[in-house]
Amino acid sequence: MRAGLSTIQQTLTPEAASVLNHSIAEAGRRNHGQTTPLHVAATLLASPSGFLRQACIKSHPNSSHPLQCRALELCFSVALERLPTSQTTNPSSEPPISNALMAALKRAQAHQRRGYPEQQQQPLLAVKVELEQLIISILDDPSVSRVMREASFSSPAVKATIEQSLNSASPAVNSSPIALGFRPSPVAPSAAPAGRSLYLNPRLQQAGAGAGSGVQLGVPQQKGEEVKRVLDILMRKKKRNPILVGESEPEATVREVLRKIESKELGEGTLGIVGLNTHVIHLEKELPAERAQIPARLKELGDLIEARIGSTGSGGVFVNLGDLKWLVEQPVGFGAVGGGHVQQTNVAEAGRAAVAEMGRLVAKFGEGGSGRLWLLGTATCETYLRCQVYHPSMENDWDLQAVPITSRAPLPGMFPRLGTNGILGTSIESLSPLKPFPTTAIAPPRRASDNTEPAGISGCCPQCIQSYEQELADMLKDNEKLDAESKSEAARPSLPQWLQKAKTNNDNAKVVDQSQCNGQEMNVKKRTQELQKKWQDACLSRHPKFHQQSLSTERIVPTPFSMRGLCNMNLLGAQLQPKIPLNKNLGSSLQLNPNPVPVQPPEPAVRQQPGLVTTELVLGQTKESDTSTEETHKERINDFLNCMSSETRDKFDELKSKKLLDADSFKRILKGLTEKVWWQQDAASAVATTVTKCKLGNGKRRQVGDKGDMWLLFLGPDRVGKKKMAAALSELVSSSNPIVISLAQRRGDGDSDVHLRGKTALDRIAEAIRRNPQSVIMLEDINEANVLIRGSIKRAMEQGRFPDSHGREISLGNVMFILTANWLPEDLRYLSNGTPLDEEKLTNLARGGWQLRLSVAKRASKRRPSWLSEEDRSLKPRKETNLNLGLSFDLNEAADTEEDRGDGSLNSSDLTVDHEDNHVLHNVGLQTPSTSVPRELLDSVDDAIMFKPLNFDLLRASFSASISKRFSTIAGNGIAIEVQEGALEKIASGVWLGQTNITEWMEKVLVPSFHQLKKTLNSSANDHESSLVVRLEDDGYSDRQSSEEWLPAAVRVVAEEY
Amino acid sequence: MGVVEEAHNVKVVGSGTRFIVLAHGFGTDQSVWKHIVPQLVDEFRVVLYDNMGAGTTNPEYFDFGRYSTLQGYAYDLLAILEELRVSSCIFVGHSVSAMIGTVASISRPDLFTKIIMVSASPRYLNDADYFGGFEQEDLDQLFDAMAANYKAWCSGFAPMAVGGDMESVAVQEFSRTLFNMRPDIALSVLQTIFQSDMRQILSLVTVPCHIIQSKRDLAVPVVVAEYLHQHLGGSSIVELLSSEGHLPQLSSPDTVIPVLLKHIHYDIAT
Repeated sequence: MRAGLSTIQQTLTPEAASVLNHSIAEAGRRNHGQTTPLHVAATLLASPSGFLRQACIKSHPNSSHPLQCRALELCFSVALERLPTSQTTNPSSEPPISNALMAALKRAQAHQRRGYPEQQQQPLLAVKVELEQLIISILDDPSVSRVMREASFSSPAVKATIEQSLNSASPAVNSSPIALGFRPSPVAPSAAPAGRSLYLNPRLQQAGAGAGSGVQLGVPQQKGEEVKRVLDILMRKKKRNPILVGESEPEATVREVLRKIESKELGEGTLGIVGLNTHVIHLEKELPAERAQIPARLKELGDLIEARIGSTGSGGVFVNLGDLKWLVEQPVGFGAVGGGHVQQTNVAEAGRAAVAEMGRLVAKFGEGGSGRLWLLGTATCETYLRCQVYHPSMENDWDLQAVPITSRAPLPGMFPRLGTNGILGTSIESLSPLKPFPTTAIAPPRRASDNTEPAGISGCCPQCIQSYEQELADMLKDNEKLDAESKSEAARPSLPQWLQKAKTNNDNAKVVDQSQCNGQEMNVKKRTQELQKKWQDACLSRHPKFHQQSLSTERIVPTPFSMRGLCNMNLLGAQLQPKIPLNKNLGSSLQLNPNPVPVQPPEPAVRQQPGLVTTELVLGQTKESDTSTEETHKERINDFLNCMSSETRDKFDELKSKKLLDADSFKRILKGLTEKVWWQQDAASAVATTVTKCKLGNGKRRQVGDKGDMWLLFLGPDRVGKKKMAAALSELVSSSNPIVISLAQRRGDGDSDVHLRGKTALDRIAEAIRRNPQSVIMLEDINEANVLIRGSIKRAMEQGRFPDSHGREISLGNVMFILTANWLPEDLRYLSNGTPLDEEKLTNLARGGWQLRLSVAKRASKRRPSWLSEEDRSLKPRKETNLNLGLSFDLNEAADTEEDRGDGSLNSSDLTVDHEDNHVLHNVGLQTPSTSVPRELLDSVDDAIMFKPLNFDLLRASFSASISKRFSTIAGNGIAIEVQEGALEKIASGVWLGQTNITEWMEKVLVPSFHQLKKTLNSSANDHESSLVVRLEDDGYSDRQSSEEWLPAAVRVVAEEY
Repeated sequence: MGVVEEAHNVKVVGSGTRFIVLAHGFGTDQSVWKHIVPQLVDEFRVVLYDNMGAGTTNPEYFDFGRYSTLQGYAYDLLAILEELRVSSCIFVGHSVSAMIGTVASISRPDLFTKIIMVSASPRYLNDADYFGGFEQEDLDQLFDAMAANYKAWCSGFAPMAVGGDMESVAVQEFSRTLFNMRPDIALSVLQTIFQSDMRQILSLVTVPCHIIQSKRDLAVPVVVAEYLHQHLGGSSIVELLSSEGHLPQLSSPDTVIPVLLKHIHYDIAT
């Protein structure tokens, strides 16, 4: 840095270079570590006819008050005082240029260069920075513009003035003749454009200033020196009344000084005549609320002083003026909104009177008189400047001497900064570039709340003020107890709010008086301020109405809130966290499970097995009795059905015995459900159980059982099954169709038309509930629903009210909700692994007007082999599919397992496997929820019912059996019927998808065809009945499609000649 | 680099002649625009910055008083524009920044040629004749939860706001920037946002506004977009996105970026 100085000098014009040199010299003189932009600015200002000074005067909105520049000088002097002094004691060394100043110089250089026309742009070093450019870039420096703002100058405005003068004097740009002189160019009245310093975050400026001085402001405390300086001033003959000017607590120094005076720490020599009997009057606490009464009060004060001086004889009187802002500002809280102007003028008048009165006192008792009256006061730069502007004679009349106070290391966040005022307060008032902005109304209250001084908690509603006072009193009481100095004024009840300030100061002063260490006193103050802040915040957050004058003055409450449960959002979020521990709910439900869920105890499963084994046995036998295939089929089907019903009967009995169920309604529901969804027997019985239980108020969910709504969760892959179950249930419960709402984000089928634009699923649900509070609402694919919907549903389950997207809530009434999801618990997953038992594929298969025909063929001569070969033929393709399906029901295989019956039921009979798993999973599936099942859903619903994956082969087999059985009853035992694989598949899927059940369809469609066929057969040569085989086979597609029916309405009979 | 630029991590990229300013919303930083910036650099000088309080800014600069209203942010924005000597720009504001932009535009309409609002809301609280989507008690709960455990709150809030599950990249991204914020600052910022009521100033806006809104947004109901459209003082246009979530430019850039570009390139027809 140091090395670069000569280089830098070269880039400057002589005037600019000389300014820089002066600045360096000044910094050296002040023993500063670095030369900063502040030094340069001060140097520039120092010249009485200086360019900068003129520009400042011109730019100032209040036109040119001669005192304004004094103010500016004062501010700069304060700012320079603040700068850290260098540790090196060598005063002759030139302080190096700080980074900020270097940046400013570079900026100036860049601007200067830009000033030249493009074609003659010169190499960087050839450009000489002229004084104006230097000034402009110095003004750009944040630290400088901050100081200027303190003196209520806007650096951008000044800059604009200079730039304007530059432009208007453009011919002279390249040759600036006058060094440091006033350039006599016409300066247009300031336009005062909104400069960036208006917008700048004050904290950034501070940071900028910190960077500018190169060192953070954490300077070692120099309070002792300050006190000494103040005392020095007090001993002077002239200008002996010090006003401490600074931003951060000059009061502390005043207090220290007063403490010294009162405790007579000062030797006789130091204060000379004052010595023995001194008296301190704290003016601030004596001040009345109405500023208008101040002059009168001061008169009284005069009498008091007179009395004191008279009585003590040799003593002196110190009047602590406190913060001078009482002279220029209306106490906050009064001047809030209305009538501000009137009061402002009142303040001015009162202030003038006060100044005159005080001046009289000073003249009488001060240096001019007996020399026994001293004034002490504090002010921020701004306040002091205002005093000077409003009361120009004050400085002289009162015999004041301003003492700049170095700011301490800032305690971030503890003391609100003046800078905040800067933006919202001062700058708006004085420059008002934002006048059109409606929120200027905010300024007064905000300013009040941000005030640096401990000005009570103005701007709060009375309630909060009272609470605050209470707490403050408590705090002080505690404090005093601690101090073992229990003075009585601790618990002062409710004072008028203007007294807050006086009170706190008073207390502080008391603490001082009691010659306590500074730290404690600071502590009280700090805590008081914290309290104020706390209550202000509290008031703002609790009583926003009170603060309505502003658009949004709500202040932040950074204090942590008490923990009051989790919000919905959090819960919602938690569900998405895979790591979340099991809910309490789930835990308890697990414990409870053995009790209320005898619905699916393992027992029936065990019982059911023998039933199945018998089936196996029968089937096994049939293999040997070739002649009675039809019978075997029949038996098989009977057994199949029997085992189902017996199982449920068992369950039912069990439940009934436990009096958990209303027998009639259970029976009715179960019957209705099994009729429609016969392939999901277990699910049906589970649904029936749950529904009956819930109706009786025994639902698993619920704290109090009087809620009418019911929530079922259908899990598993069988889409159609779930839908049909819901339909059947709805029919039984509310004798209407269920309202089906798909929550899936994108699913093209069927419901897409319901997806009305602008209508969310939430709204549709809400509407459905509103329309019929008795209905059954099926919410499909909850697993695909978005978080919002899931959250709402969860909330609805908990609270019994459903929020729509407008935030309105609808009571759920007696609505039964059926949620469906595709989740499959882990232990069932293997079943569907690789078995994408493609429901869609099936749908496609059955779709589109397929036809069936019955044809008669001659059986090959050797019956048995032919039958076998037939089986083989049909077996082959199935074997292939078996590979895919992983499960099948095969007559032959089943028969084979007869030998090893032990594990046979597990090994080959899917039926058994299924049932077993089904039972297990109903409990286990819940106990070991797979990752994809949202636990909170499982917890909240009344019951989760598992739908096992559709076993299509079982379906086919049973259809094939029933068709054969029906055929044999018509055609007699002689003729065999053979259902072609493709046809069977289509029938099965048709039945599965459609509304008609297989028996109905057979009676309606197949049986007439059988009769017709029989007729033909009878009419033809009847010789070898048993050698004939009838085939039910696929007959291509017809054109006419009926979308409603999945099954063909007729079966063509083709009696071929054989 | 100026002090403002540095504090707000201002980045100016691109080689165009016109300025476009991208301002992020709550819980994010300028990285939220990563998908769209490459599309703009050829034509614009893209100004990116971080709002004070974002995880990437120095918490020391966060003045709780200054940022207790949106104006503090608006001043920041103006300070940035001043420092960059931007005399005119297109402003793209997401969420709260859209409102910050409008506030700034009321003060300095000359600086803004148009404002593109993504997921903006002038008020989040419901009112007698206004539906903002939140009740005070919701917010209180939210703030409580936030104060109680910020991390847990973040992991819950992120998927809600983005409208995806915890695993999705967008949610991860948002959680990251969200959790970067200092908890007390985040709480303060969110309170400022949720308690703000900018409805009264909408009529003072003269700059054309393009309102872009997800069709499903936890924070901003669709009706709010309509409200903005009807109450903004200047001309405005609404486009509903098929995307979901409060941060569509992050969660579904494929559908959202083209829409944004369209609105950037074309003005509202008169």
